[in-house]
Amino acid sequence: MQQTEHERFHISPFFVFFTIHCSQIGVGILSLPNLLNEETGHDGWMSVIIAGTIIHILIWMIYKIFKSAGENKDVIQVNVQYFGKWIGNMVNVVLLVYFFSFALIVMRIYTEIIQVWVFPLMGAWQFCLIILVLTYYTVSGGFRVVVGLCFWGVMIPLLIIVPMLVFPLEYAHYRNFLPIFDHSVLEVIKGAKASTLDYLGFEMILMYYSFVKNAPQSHKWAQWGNAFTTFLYLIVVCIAIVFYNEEQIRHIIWPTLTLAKIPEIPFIERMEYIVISTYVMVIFPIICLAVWSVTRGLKQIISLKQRISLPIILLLLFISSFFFTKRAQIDQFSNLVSTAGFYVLMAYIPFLWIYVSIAKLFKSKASEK
Amino acid sequence: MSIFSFMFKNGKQQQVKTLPQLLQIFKQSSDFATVEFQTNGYHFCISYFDSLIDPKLLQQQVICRLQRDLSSYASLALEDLQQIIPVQRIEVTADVEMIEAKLLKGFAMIQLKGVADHCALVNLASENLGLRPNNDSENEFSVVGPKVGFVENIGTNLHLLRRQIVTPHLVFRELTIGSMSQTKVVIAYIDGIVNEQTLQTVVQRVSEIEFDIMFDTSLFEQILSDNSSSPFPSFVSSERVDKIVYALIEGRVAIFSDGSPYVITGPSTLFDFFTSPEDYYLPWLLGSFFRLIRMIGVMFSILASPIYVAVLTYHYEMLPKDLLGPIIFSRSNVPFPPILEVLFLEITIELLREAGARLPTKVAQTLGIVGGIVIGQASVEAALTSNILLIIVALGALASFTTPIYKMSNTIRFIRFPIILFAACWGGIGIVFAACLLLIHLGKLQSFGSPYLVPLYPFRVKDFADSFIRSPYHLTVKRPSYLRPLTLWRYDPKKAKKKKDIDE
Repeated sequence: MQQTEHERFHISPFFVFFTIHCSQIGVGILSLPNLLNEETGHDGWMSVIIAGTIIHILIWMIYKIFKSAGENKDVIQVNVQYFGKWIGNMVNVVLLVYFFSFALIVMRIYTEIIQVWVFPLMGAWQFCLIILVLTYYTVSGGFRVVVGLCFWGVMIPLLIIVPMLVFPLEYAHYRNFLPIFDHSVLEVIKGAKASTLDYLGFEMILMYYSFVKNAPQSHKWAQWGNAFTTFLYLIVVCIAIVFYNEEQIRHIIWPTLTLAKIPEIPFIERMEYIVISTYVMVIFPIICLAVWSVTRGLKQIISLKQRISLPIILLLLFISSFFFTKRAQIDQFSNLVSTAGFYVLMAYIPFLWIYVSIAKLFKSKASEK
Repeated sequence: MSIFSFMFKNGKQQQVKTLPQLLQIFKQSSDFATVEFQTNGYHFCISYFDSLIDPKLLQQQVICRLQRDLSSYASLALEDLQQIIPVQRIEVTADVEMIEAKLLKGFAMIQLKGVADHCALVNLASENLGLRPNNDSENEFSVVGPKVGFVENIGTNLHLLRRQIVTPHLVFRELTIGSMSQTKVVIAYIDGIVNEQTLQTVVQRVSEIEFDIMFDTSLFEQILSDNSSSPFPSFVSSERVDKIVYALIEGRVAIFSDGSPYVITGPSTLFDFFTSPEDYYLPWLLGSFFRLIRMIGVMFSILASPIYVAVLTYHYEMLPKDLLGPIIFSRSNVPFPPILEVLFLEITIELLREAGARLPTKVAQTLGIVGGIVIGQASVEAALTSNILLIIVALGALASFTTPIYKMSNTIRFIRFPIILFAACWGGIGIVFAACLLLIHLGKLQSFGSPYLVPLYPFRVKDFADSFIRSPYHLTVKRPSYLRPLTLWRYDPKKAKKKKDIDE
């Protein structure tokens, strides 16, 4: 495949911080305390740290993969290069389907939140439609525009949503942390597994790696992006632990959103409306990145023009969003995507890394001889 | 020729081949004059457009000289006229096209009998006739600082510029644009500062313009714009000399057009539209404060009425108890849903603004009072709108006028309407959607190939010195890096930065 990417479509290494961080924080954080509580109770913060560390290692592996396989490549090319045309492309298709379902589930969960919290009577399809129309507008502007959106998707929520997390501390019970190490190692690891799912999304760097200027330099920014995500998760989990008690949190699906009900200023109440509205900025870049990755992948595999594949993908997303109408269905699908993501992270990336490293080892030995 | 002949012509006027043919065409017009006279045995024939030349110049510098000073020449050639007539750059030519062009610009053609096809062209144009001599820049007023503004005459404008930027590196590149108007267009830049690539883009785009009459530089703005279907202006246009000078020394390019008091500069960013020259004349703390006020004003202007619509239509739970009372009280008699109420008032304000802009100044003042006070008060009393909304909309309108550049304030007036509709359809989520749309749109925009949202995206920490706040001058010794200037330093920073210790 030819390298036609022009320099001006590339992003500077610094922006990898935003793409990584932005693609990780999605709808997961809203229900993270609940998820962790099931496994680890008030020791959930340890699981978050463990999961974050694992992701750091995975990011390191990704950069190693590209270092061995060659820069200016994306995972589509790497797969074909190492696994041959047939198997490689099969893996690629699986990856693209995964990205597609990732976009779908993020969108669907968010529209569900809108339905539950804000507009119980409006059809979810309306919101899917405007999200997808906006996605078309963004992705058709190219990768740089998508990254620009990621930038805003980090900055604006950081300014609006994060300060609201301070307010619940007024009612904090810091003793909720005690006793520390109340749970077994296995439980903590199970919690880590559960929270790994909230880190999903960063693996899209496999697709846009070749769009980063001086990509190896961006490694530190990628790690910082993940560190920042871990930090935010830690804050949210800690606040949830000190604010709720364990029994209470079990009955709340989106504890983080409920936290936003607490702040009150003289002229606004019910801040969660602001949070949910602003959350468009959080989930929207993820959808754009995922859709971009799918169209980019299709271009690499079957050289389908992105201008053509983009409307098709969006239409497919729109149609598939109709299949999930009940909470249970969405939950089921969400679990499916999470599991798929888990295997992409824990099986595919390490495997590819080992495979590529060994192949490189053999190559260098062969060249020595 | 049939009346349909224009369809077969290739858009081009009939080509003139010879001088007599040209004169024939000119003579159709009553202001084309030809003076013939004889002195010292030479027979002169002077042709010119009466409406274009200065008659005093013709009499004193040409006819008078010819009659008085000719005796000292034994044999006279057209080339010798330069010695006799004290007017700069007399050209002798036989080129019919050139003669046509020059005559139409206020030159006089001097023919000597016996020299059949050659003639001398003397510039007698009265350049300032009918044009205002000065401009107090009342449309972009600032209390502090110089009040000199550009005028319609491009010669005056270039003079004003050269007087401020005293360097041989200030370069004017002249082009002629417009098939009918033959407008003189000047691209000004400072050599050694401006980025070559930007300059090339500008020159190329300007020279590629095809148009008949260039009325104003705002036409350039639309034709040159990278994204013509955007409500946002791509280039800053200003009539203030100081603003253009500042843009040039930062490394931008300015485009002058004859007949237009506005000069456009590019590449521009979104922030350039919210900076006023006064920010730089006031102490930096005050300058920054007013700039921030302006930006907050813009945010308020865009978001205030959509938020009102969203909250009162969908999210009334968000109102605290204390605020709910007054709102219920003021809205209890209003029969419309919030969206209609807002649209009604917004459009009223737009009408007032439009009417005020179209009417003579004195009437407009009366209209403002009648419209603002009477209609506002009456519509509240008639229960068409609520008091609170009246305040919000009036404040929003006020805030939108704080933008120093008129084109941008128009844009701000415009973009609130789609946001109001979004808010009416999907409440707060609609507003954030619209904001997303706006950010993406701004992210896509470019101005002469340079991104519009810089230094926010692409993120440039160093260029924040002169964006949200106007930093003190010792922090702005560097030119903005997104313009990619050839020399980064504006002046020697060491002299400027020297910091003294306490009691030293």
